[in-house]
Amino acid sequence: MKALVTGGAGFIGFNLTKLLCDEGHEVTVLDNFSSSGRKTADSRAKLVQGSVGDYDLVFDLLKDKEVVFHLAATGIIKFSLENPLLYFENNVMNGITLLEAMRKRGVNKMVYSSSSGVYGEPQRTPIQENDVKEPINPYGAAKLAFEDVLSAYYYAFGISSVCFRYYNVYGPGDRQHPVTRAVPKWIQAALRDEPLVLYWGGRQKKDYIFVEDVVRANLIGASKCQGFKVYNVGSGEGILMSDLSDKLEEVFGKKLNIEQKGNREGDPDVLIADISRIKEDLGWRPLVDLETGLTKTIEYYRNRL
Amino acid sequence: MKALVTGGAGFIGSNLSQLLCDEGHQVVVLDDLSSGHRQLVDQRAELVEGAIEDSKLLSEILPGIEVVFHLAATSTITYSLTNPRKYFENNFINGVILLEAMKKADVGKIVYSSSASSYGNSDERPLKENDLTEPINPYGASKYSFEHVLSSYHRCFGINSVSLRYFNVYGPNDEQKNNTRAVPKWVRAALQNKPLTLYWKGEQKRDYIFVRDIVLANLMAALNCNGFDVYNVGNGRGVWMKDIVKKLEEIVGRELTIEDAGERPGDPKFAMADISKIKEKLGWHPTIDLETGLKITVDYFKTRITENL
Repeated sequence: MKALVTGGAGFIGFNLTKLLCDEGHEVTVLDNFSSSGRKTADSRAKLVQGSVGDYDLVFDLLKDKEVVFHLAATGIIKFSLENPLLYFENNVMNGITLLEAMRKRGVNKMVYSSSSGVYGEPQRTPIQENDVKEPINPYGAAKLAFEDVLSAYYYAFGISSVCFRYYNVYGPGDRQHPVTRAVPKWIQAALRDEPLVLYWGGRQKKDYIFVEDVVRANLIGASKCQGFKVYNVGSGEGILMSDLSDKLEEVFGKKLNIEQKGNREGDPDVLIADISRIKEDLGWRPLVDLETGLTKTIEYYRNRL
Repeated sequence: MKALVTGGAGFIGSNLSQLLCDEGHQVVVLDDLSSGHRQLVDQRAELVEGAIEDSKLLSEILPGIEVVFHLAATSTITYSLTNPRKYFENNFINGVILLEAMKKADVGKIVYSSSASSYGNSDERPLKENDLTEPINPYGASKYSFEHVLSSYHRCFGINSVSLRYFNVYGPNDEQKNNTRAVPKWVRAALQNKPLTLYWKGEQKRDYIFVRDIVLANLMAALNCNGFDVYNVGNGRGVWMKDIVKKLEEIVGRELTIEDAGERPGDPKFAMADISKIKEKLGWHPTIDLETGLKITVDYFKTRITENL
């Protein structure tokens, strides 16, 4: 198939583009390199620098495309508190520009990278897709708002979409800058013999999912994109952050220097996916366990250093 | 209290401003008059003609305001299908601009006029606030998505909000141009001896709520605005569209001509509110029954038509 991947130079987009190319698909990547940490994409893909909000450019790129993987986003949660409007502009309004161009071009499939941030403080664990959603920061609100847009575009204009609510994605290729995610931060710190910063005494329980599993979900999502669908994408299992650092010590085979940093507001204690819906509807399940995933991730950063 | 009413020259906003003035509150109305009417604004309120995305204007009128009633919106569902982007700009992004201005001016309360269109398709069962929300048109999506913004502004910036999801509101002051709402259209048609356009042969069940009850809900929400809350505002009981026609016939005292407009795609058969939450939490309940409400509405349009003629 012919696909457009927005945000294809970013962490997940880069991995997705690689998978799509490996599977023989024809890929165009659109990225403005604002937060990707790299200015490249898989060499087999056509790479275009630009914004999803640039209607003419997007309209042009959509020619003959069958599906759009929409990953481009302003993604760092804590900055969304400093400049909320920017997040709503980039993550919602630019998405609407993209959808309008798709509508004019007759491209009627979108796989959207949403976020577990849509739920806010979960009212139960594990979280199901229809549970209460009360986002606790502008980032989560923007990601959820765009799901509403997609719902409307399906019912009003027949553009089908699959929304994937990612939990904590980790793996090779994460060059987020500045680094806010725990796993890449810890691994890079460990490789440099610097201390690992741990919040909440490591008592937070999160759901870690390897990036290869996430991009495989995207591929399956595209092949079964019909209607308006929303899925959690996680491992379905929680891990205590303190156990995660223990696991890293195990994989590294050495004692790591942990720096306890106390509490951090605006970060739910427990965030674990119920993945029964995606298993049942799409036949997807996580294939890479945490140990294998971490080993591959460490390998990646070791080579980078 | 000192209140800002955005969209205060519109149907619901003008009724709200009037109630607030009646209750002795100080009211500033902000309206760009794109769909509102200057003459609907209560004399006791201060009318500022302008847009909610005008940050500079907001920075001038917000200081000292205790609560914002946010009703300004582009609201005709049909047109949201021809120009979706405009709906998200007006109903979503411009709301964010308003919130940013509130943050700067330290205004900590907003009562938001949301919509039953947040839910999307439904069946005969009355809708609860936590039911599935899948908007089926850009209007519904733009209204619902702003609730998420409010959720995040409560948690991050301490701005409290109450979102009121209106079902079918009717009553005096509904002067929408090219009116798309059934009741004002029918009342006008009936009074002018024109045929009433009826879709689906009237086999649709809706939840009609009189505007006076809606503005009362706004007032109570403002007094209980301390968190992030969402409530349905409706009658809680459905009425068949064909039965509204019958009620109108009783009120005007003669048989009305019906024009069968066939089926209208994307128009759900049922849309009814479960109002137990707002009853329990705010102590609000509808006070005006359909017959009384329709009579008042008919009287209003009777006067309006006489004025125009």
